[in-house]
This record gives sequence, C-alpha cells and structure tokens, in this order.
Amino acid sequence: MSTPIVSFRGVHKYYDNTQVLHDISFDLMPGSITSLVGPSGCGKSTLFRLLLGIEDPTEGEILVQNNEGELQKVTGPSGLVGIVPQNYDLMPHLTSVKNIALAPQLAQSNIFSRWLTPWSWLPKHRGHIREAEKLLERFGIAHARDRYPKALSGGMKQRVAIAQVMINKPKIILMDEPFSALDEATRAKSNRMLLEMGEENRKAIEEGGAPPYTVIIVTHELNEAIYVSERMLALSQFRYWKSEHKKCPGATIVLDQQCPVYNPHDIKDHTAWQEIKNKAINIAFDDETRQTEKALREVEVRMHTDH
Amino acid sequence: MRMIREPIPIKRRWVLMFIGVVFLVGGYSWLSYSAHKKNPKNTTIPNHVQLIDGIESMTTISGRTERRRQRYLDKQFEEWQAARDKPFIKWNDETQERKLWEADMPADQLRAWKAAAIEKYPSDIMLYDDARASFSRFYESLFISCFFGFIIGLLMGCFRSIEAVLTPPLALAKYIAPTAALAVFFAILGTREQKFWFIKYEPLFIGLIAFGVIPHYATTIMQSVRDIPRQRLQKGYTMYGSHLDVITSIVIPQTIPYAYRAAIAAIGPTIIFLIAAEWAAADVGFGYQLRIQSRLLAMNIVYPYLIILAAFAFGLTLLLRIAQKIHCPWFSEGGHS
Repeated sequence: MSTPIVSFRGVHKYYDNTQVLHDISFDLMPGSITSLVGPSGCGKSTLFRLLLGIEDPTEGEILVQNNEGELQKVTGPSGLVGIVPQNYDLMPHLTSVKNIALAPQLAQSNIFSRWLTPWSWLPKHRGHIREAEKLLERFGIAHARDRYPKALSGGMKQRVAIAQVMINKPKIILMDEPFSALDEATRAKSNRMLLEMGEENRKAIEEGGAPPYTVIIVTHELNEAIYVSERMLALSQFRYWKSEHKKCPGATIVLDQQCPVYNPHDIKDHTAWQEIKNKAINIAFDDETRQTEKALREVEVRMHTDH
Repeated sequence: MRMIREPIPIKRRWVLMFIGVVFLVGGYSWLSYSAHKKNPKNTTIPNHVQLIDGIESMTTISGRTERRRQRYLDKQFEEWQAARDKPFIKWNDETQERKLWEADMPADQLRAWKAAAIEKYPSDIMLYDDARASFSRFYESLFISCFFGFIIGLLMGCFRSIEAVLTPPLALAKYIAPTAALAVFFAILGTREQKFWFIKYEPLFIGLIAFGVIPHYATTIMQSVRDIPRQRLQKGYTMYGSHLDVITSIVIPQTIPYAYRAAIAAIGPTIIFLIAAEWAAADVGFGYQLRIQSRLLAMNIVYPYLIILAAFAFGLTLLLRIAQKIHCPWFSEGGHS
C-alpha cells in the first residue's frame, strides 16, 4: 500500500475553552479528489487552516507527504499545500498573467535576488510568464491575460486562482467553496475541470506514474460534492456526546463515503447518488434526523473503528 | 431629478463651476467697491488696481540686490588691486569709472566674481525668495514625514509587537498640536540651517511637520496593511513566500495607493504647520511674509499669497492623484478589491 499524501491523526482543536474539532483522523491517498461537506460553522475552514499550517492543532498531528515522498509534520505554511480560497483572493495589483507568475516568483526568488542579480532573474521571470500564459490558454482565458482581477468575472477569477495554485505544483490543492459565487454555466465548466483532473490522475496511475493532483474541496453543494469527487467526508458536530464530555466536544468526521467516479463527458446520473446524498443529509446536516438513533449509531461505530 | 445624488451632464457641471467662480469674483469686487466708496485709501479689501500693484511689487527684482552685488564686486576689486600694489580708481556712479577697472581685469577673473556675487546675493524677488524657501521646506518635510510614516505604519501593520510598542507614543503625539509645542522644537532643534551631504535643511521645520504628520500617516498605512485580507497573505505563504517576500510582493504594492491618499491628506496639515513655524521663526518664506504684510495691512500682497498657497496645494493634490492613477491603475477608491 502506498504512503498517504495527507494524514490527520487524532486531531483536536480548541479555541480557548471551546472545542471546534474532535478527534479527526483520516488519510488521503495521492491522486484522490475528496470533498469535505458539513453544515455551516462546523469547522471545515478550521480544518483547512490546520492543514495549511496557519494554525496548530491542540492535540494530535497532521502529516503531509514532502517532495521526497516522506510524511512530515505540518509545522507552518509551506508550498506543499496550495489553496484556492472562497473568494479567490487574487492579488488586486497584478494582472491575470502576473498573478499566476507570482507563485513561482515567490518560490524561486526573493527581493534581493531580483534587484541585485537581474541578469539571472529576468530570464527566469520570462519563463514564469510563458508558463502562466500556457495555463491561461489551457483554462480558456488567454484573452484575459492583462486584465486586473477587478475586471474579471467570477468564473475567470476562479480559473486564475486555480492556475495560480497549479503552477507551483503543490502536493495538495485545497478548494474552499469554489463554486459558491458562480452561475450555472460556469459551475458546469468548473465541475468539468475537476473531472478532467480526476481523469488525468487515473490515467497517470494506469501508466504507473504519480497522479498529478490531490484535491480537497469544501462545499455545501452535496450534488456537486458527489459528482466531482471520488470520496466524501462529512464533518459535523455530534449532538449526543458521551458522559465524559461536559459539553459538545466539537465536530468530527461523521461520514466517510466513496462516490461514483465520473469522467468529464459522462452524463450526470442524479439517481445514482440520491442515496448517498440522503445519507449525508441525515447524518451530517439535518438537525432533526442527525439526532436519530441511526445517525448516532453511525457516529459511534465510526468512533469505535477509529480507536 | 428623480432622486438625490443623481449625476449631471459634464457640460452643465462646467457651466455651474464657472458660475461659482463668477460669484466669488463678483462678490469680492462688490465688497471692495463698497469699501473703497467709504474710504478710497482702504487696503484691507484691495481693489483690482491695488492687487495688480501688490503682485507687481512681489514679482519684480529690487535695486537693492543690484547695489549689494556691485558693492561685493568693488570689494573684490579693491583686494585684487591691493595685492597687485597698483593704483586703482574707486567706483563712482557719476564718472562711470568702474568700466576702467573692468577693462583692466582678466576676463575669467571678472566672470568668476560676478558669478560669486550672484550666488551671494541672489535675486530678491519677494515671491521667488519666499516660494523657494517655503516650498523647499515643504517638500523636504513632507517627503521625510511620508517616508518614515510609511515605514512605521508598515511595520506596525505587519508585526503586532511593533504595533504594541509604538501605539502609545503615536497616540499621544496625535493629540499634541505641533504648533502649540513650537517652543519645545525651538529648544531641541534650534533655528540654524544644517547640511546633510549636499542637502541643506532646517531641522526646526522638518521636526515640527514630521511630528504633526507622521502619527496620522503611519496610522493610515497601518490600517491599510491590516485591511489586506488575511487569506491573501496566507496564499503568499503557501507559494513558498517568506515574511520578507509577503511584505515586499504582496503588502507593499497593495499599500502604495493608500500612501498616495495619505500624502494627499497630509498636504493641508503640512502647509498649516509650515506657515505657523515660519510665522514664528523664519526670516524668509510664506509664513514670514504673511506675518509682515499683515502687520502692514498690505492685503494686496496677503491675498495673492493665500491664493498661491491654495493653488499650490490644489496642484499638488491633482498631481498626486494623477500619479496614483498611473502608478496603481488597479486601485478603486472603494478599498481593497
């Protein structure tokens, strides 16, 4: 069995006395496209911040595969994990192409090397720009090369943000609600792009190579989560806590579900994922149903198997 | 008009602006006319003729400078003659004897003396001298205040510990009127001109203006750094950026338009502090001249000086706005986009 690319091991997170995350444990394999779903405020963004290394877990550890293929503890932000934030957060002072080229610029130079050795920096920079142009072309927004973010549509911003992450080839790409601000047509395009990434991964694995993309998507849209990802993790606060917990012990992974795999040109079959969707709603979302005995049992079974 | 704040066509806007100017000029003319009707020698609301006289007197070179330069040349000539141990003819306006010694002089020597005389006694066109003194003080002070204000604000915005250290002194300085503390600046900085490398500066003016401008400038910059969304900075780190990279490639470029904006906002206070300082402690400059001319009730000089100051501030504001637009075309006034 190959080494996981991400490993959460018994992660707890507290803010002062409030527990947000409780005993999060899961592994992700290289090339997996995983969606993380859950009700608002359940701690999905916290989980992302922990994985990015911006915050430290209170207990437990998070491991990420480094460039040598070994698991290393996340101790701070690094280029191993890239993020496409919810509102894309492009640099407003840079055009699309320069936004994308900023990533290798930061990775391969600093202000001193840029100012003091321009003869070695400028050819490198031209290479970054060419690479960025290729990505713009690949995402079909070459015409927006010299536009500033304020002049880009939501869909364009999203694609620039994804290109900005992809150009540095991070081990893991995090997408925080990437579809939330998009219209229907652009959402469909974005979905297809993710399916293409999945297809590329599968091809690479078939050919014995390393899959290029490992993606974790946070979304509220269950349909999309099931359609674009191969695995769905549901994070939710559990309402029935054990006697040793004096108050709610935060959120945990309450559902770990395999999803049907689609290729970009496959027809969407909503009926195939209805059962998964209902299950996720019952266990993670619905305040009424997630308190049922059945939901509780699922949580307890999951906690039991984890330990 | 269906609702308030509805835009108007540009042509109408220009016409209305013109009407505003006509009202201003017309109102002043009427006031001046009424005052002169009561007292033809009135100088507090000068009429157009008095204003033109005033403008003429402050823009033409006086004979005083010419006389000073000539005295200097004569002195040089006397010394030169004494060294040569030859008789010399003293300068006399009536006999035109100067020409004699000028003819006797080596041309290079005479040219060098004349240049030195001009340097020693530059033109004493009142407006030129005052403008030169005040504007150089203004630019030096504003540049230094903005430079240090930017550095301090940037560091405070980026690093909480620096913010914690600098917040109390800045908060205190913000509420002390520098003009009220003029005596303190006199005592600490003195009134002498200093020289740094080849740049001459007067520490009193720079210190006073910096004290008044830096706290506000630094606070604006700090706030603009804080307003940069956290996620944007996080993104910089996930692109292998170090602290220095994030500051130089993400924070500073996004703070530059606010630096322009804060500099524009600092123009007004800088002029106020400068005039106040010159009023009290200068022998040349707008503030000094306004004080002298106000005492003499020479309003035909005071009013043009005030208009020049306002025009200068307006022009500089316009220039900075244009520079901001050229330098930061991505920036929209709404804030961090």
